[in-house]
Amino acid sequence: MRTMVNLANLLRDKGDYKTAEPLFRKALVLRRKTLPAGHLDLGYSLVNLGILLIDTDRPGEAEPLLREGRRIFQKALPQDHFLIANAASVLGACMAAMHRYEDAEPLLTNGYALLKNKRGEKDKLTLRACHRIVDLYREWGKLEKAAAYQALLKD
Amino acid sequence: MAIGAVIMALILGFGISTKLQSDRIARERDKAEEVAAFLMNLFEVSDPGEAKGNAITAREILDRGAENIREDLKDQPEVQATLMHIMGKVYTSLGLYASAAPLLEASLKTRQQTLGGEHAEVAESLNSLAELLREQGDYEQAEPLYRKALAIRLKRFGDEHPDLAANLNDLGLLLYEKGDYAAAESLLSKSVAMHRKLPNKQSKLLAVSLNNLALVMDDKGDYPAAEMLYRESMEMSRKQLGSNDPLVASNMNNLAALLHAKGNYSAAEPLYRETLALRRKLFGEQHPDVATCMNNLAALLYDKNDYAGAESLYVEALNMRRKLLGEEHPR
Repeated sequence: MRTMVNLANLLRDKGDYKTAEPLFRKALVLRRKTLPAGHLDLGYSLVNLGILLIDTDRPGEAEPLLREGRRIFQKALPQDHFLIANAASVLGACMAAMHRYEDAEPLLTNGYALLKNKRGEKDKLTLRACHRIVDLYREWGKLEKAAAYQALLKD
Repeated sequence: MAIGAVIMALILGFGISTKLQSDRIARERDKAEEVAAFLMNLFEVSDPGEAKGNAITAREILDRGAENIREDLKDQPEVQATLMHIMGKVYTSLGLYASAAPLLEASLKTRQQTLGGEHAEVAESLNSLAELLREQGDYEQAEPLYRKALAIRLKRFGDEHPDLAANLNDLGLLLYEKGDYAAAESLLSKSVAMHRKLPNKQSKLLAVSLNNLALVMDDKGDYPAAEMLYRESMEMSRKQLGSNDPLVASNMNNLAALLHAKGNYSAAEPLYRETLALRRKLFGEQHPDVATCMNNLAALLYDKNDYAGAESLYVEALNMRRKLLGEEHPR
């Protein structure tokens, strides 16, 4: 199942949403069926399908999945774990996509700060979280703040 | 009179035990003969007259044994159960779960019938059957079997025994796979502590418990603790078992995954590749552990932005997992 979700992630990142989405959905159904409620792998499935739904302009559909995934991580892991930070950042992006910028900002900045702290500035997840903040401030029209985070993305 | 009676009883007792002994000797002799016949039949396949020029593998001998054991040793249920248990465990390690299940189930049933429900060998069979179910991802059915084995062992061995420590380890691993980290950590820590205290240290089993405790710390994000445990486990298993061993391969895979999670790709990649080569050598091309390692290496390539390399490995691993474990395996 992990392999299926990993492959779906890769296909999503390549922009092949049509192949990725059914794989995510199948894995989610099977995980709900075969794993105890609250298993981390269920959290992965929810957050990763959520990212695809944001990418394909369905943030409303993503929100409940992302909240459920984040709750699973919060319950199973120490509170400073990077998976919780990552889930917060993705949920922030979801809020931003629905133009709820004020809800989005603390989720995105806190998630980013924790990721940077736990995984380092150049980590893939940290960089993605930083991108999301740039996107937020650009959408929101706060261009100076966007530029400050954009600067962090350069080497 | 009182003294006399005591002597009487003793003489009587002696007589009975002699009779029992001679019965036992006769039974042991019959048992030995039947086992010898079974083994002769088993190994005859490698006789050139039988093999007709074909090289016979250990696997073929195992398969032949599994086929014949029900009939050939039906008059020796205890020996039959022991051999079925060993064969079932070997099939489990080979990832051949469909062949393992009937052997382990029959072994358990026979032992329960001949030895009673609370015997140490019944606990052993329960544990091995639970292991098979866990490997297949059937946590719901596996857990009560582990717990039953644990209860028997606690009652029989008290609270310090290698089998008990091993049982704690196995149940701890199941809880880890189920995602119950707090309970898993507690049982695995207990298993490690118990192994460390045992007189002959049981190094292989200690190494296994250390490895499994490290998995929990790893998932919890405590990388320094996890790395220390993986390295201690690996050093111990290498020393005990040499470099060509499934446990060493697991240590390597897990350490690579930890380095990978920490972002140290250049250290993780060669270690994954080494693990993959070792597992192919140990298990053949098709095995759940080979698929796991391919998945991990693919994830690393993905993180390095080598999408093409990652995709083909994922697809290969996914097909292998589907074939070996079915669609519904949770991991």
